[in-house]
Amino acid sequence: MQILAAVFVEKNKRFALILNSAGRYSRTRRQKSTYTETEVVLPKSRKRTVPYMNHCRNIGSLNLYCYTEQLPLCRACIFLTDSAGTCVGSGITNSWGMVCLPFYHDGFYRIWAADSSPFQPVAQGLGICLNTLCPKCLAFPFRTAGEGSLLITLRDKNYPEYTLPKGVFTLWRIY
Amino acid sequence: MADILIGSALTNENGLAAFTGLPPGTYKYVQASAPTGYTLDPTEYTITISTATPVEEDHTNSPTETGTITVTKHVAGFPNFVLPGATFKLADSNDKPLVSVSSPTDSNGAISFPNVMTITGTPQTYHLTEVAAPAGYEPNTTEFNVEVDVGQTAEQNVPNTPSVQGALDITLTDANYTEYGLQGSNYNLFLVTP
Repeated sequence: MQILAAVFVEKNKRFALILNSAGRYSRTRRQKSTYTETEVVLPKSRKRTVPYMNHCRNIGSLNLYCYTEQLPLCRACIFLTDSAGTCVGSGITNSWGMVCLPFYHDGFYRIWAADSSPFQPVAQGLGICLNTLCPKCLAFPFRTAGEGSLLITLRDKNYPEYTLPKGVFTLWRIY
Repeated sequence: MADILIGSALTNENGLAAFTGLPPGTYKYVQASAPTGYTLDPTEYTITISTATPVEEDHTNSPTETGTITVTKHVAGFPNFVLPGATFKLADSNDKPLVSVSSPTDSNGAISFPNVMTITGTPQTYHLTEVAAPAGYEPNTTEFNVEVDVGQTAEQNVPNTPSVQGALDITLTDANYTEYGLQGSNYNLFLVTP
């Protein structure tokens, strides 16, 4: 038996996240109205099995806001793992950078994000204590993967066309 | 956490100093030393790097000491016949331009280049060349070397020869005997300006 856990779009392709009877998550690609399993998306370092979920229990939710330096980050793939490293929920951020991650037990969890080129998560594996009775909101920052540069041009104040060689500039990073 | 020194960069011949490979974050930079003859800008500038697109900044230094160059344009052989409408290029001793094309000489046939950098005891030499001659005059292709002292005005005359040179012949004769030319009389010629 397979349970459709989530449907999301990544790089203009439609995918579904499926939980099967063995407790494994699979990512699928949609082909002619059917979902065909193509690849497993969970990182190798994490367990792929999930415990049996008792749906009679309270379901907690973590609302996550993903953002870059300036804007909300949409289409970011987010995973929630429990203290044992088991994936308990996942989702894709919407156009406001928001994603709601469900969980079933109180406890300690970690937040993971798939690469969302050109952005990378700043706080990969961020730990958080969650309570099913207490919905929580959290911000999850990303930053540009590419490195930037600073170009300074020095000129004569009275004759701006005349550039000045042999000037020295010193750069610090501010924390 | 204290600020972390990333490094220093020297401006090249094009006045460009580059810091590359910077992770996103907030940075500050300051000018550590100025080129010879210029005064350092002590301002501390803050920038934010958030993308791979280079952050481009433009800064200026003022000359510590200056002089002035004044150029006067006139007709060759007629110092008082000044010529408006000529443009010039002013460059340093390595022919690197301060001004590629100046504004035209004014109605007095003059143009001034104030506040050019010079150094006490080491007068700076600038190259002055005509870019465009006034209409009706041949270009003056001479490159003039103008030496500028601190606080002084260096004057440079740049004459032009007319493209078309005319002539005036006057014949003076006896009023009663027009065959008889009169020798030894002087005429004065004036230019009537519009």
